Amino acid sequence: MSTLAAIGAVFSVDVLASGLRLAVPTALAALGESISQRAGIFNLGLEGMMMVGAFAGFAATSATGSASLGIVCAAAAGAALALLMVFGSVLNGTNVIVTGFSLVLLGQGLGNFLYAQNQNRLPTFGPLDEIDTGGAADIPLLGPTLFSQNAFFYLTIAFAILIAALLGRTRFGLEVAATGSDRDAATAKGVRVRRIQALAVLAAGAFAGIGGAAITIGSVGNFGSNITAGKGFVAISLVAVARTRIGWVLLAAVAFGTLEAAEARLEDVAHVPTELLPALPWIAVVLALLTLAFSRPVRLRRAA
Amino acid sequence: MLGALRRAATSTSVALVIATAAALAVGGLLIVAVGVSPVSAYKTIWSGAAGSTDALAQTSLRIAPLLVMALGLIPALRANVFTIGSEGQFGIGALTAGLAAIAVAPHLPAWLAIVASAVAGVGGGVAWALVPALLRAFLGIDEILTTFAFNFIATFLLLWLLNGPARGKGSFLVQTSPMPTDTWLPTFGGSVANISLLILPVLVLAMLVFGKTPAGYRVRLFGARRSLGVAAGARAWRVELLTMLVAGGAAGLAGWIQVAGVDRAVFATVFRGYGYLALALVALGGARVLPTVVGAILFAALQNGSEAMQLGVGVSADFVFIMQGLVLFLMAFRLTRSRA
Repeated sequence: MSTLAAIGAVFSVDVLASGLRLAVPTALAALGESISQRAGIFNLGLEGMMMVGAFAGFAATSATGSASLGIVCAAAAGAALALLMVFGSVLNGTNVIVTGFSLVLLGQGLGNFLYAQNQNRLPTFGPLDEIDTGGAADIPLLGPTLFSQNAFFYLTIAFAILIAALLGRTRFGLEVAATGSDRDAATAKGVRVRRIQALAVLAAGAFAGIGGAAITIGSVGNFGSNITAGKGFVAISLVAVARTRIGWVLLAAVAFGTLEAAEARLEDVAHVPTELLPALPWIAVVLALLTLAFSRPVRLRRAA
Repeated sequence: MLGALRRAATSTSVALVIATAAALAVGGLLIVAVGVSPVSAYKTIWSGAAGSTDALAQTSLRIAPLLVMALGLIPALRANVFTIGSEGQFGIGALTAGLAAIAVAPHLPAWLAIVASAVAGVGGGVAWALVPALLRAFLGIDEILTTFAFNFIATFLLLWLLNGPARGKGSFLVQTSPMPTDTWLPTFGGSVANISLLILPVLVLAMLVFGKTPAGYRVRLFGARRSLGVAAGARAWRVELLTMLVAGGAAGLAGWIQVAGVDRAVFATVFRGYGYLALALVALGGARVLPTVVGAILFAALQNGSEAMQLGVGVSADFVFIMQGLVLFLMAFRLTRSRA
């Protein structure tokens, strides 16, 4: 098989379509993380926030049958965990890394524990239906990729536009950027730094929660132990690589999702052992982080 | 006298015990919420963790790997290097230790085979820490994200090796052949506790001494403020590289303790979250030795106890992660205050 044909076989329309689907949870969490990192808070707890969102969304949808309610509950659960981050690091100056890490343990523990205790009471349901886009779904290439997705996909795009506008074109966005780049100067200019950071962290939690729900409600219809499988950390890495720029964050998430989707095809083409395939996206994360070495230095962690 | 009392009352170790009690109180509410009596739940935790000689011996089997890994993380955390790679390094160390034991046991006297297995474990851990450490030291790539990625890569690597090249001959399970009995860690009398406990005081002492050496002092300065450490003669790349490799070696050693002392073969399920717990307990003690020891004992007991609780009263053992997350969350406040 020629190289070109091999590439064609790996990145087919199917793979691109499922790549976009797989990108959604990471993209949502990464959108949230972008806000909090711009405000100068490296939110390491993202994984925990995704986990509680994944569980709350699943539980609410399972109990009521309403996916919309599930999404709201997921956002609330993620924000609730983020509130602990606000209380610790924003209001009391605890080390962001230590507090963030504690929230990873706490969120994973809560999600897994609550599921284990309530498993029998929570029926599973089918993954969310695709939105009917009428004739658009028949357009070649664009149809199966962009116009055959479920609500979470379009929600992600809407949120991305909203967040890009909010950060780039409003007073709030300027205050977020000012807070993140120089706290003291921002304070001197009358920016209420703590309030900005608190809002940014809460937003990160809410979006991470919805990202978790995109897995449980959107694509699985169930919950499982550690179901977010490190996606929160992937999201943080993508935000670091994209330097919080929303367009690049989305692009990175799509690239990552596509790589995940291509795993199964790579087995046929490149003869990589099945067990090793899931390691590829993680290797890609490390390689992507490498690019940071060759760009302007960013001090993500000590910015707070 | 009063001063000593006040120091004791405000010490990190005491705060840790108080934070654990507070977390257990919150956890009690959670247990009530799932319809179980917290009194009976906590009774089973206690009896599972420390209620009998056997329970204590079982707890000791968790203390050893946790504490070894945690002690190894102390220099890194003091240097403000937040490596979360212990989990993967532990698994790779377990693998290399197990394979080395199987390979050398027929050719060496028992004690030498045990030493070789331990050395292989350390080597595996160091090797797995090497890439993130080099990236941190020479390219300034954030170690949190790379070490986390390496944990995942390690789990898949182990799965592949145990399914293929490293799989025991004729084994129906995803595991290596059993390690030869000669390479198992000798136990004390009739109990399951093994001699790895004897390593702990040595490592504790080594860490205490390290803190008093000029190098240990420079590492702490470096962690407090890079420029200060550099002014005191620390070279940034060396501090970052070496602290990460030490953490990796310790995690590999812990992997050896796990396979040679408990598992006696390498399983794909060797990953137990110990690496994350070890990091949590070093962080909550502000990377100091004594609180790390107290934390390791508390966390190991909690973990052992909560598995008894799952069997006994049907409360999921995931409870323990909630407790550990809460304890770390609470301790973060104390660290802020003591630094201010």
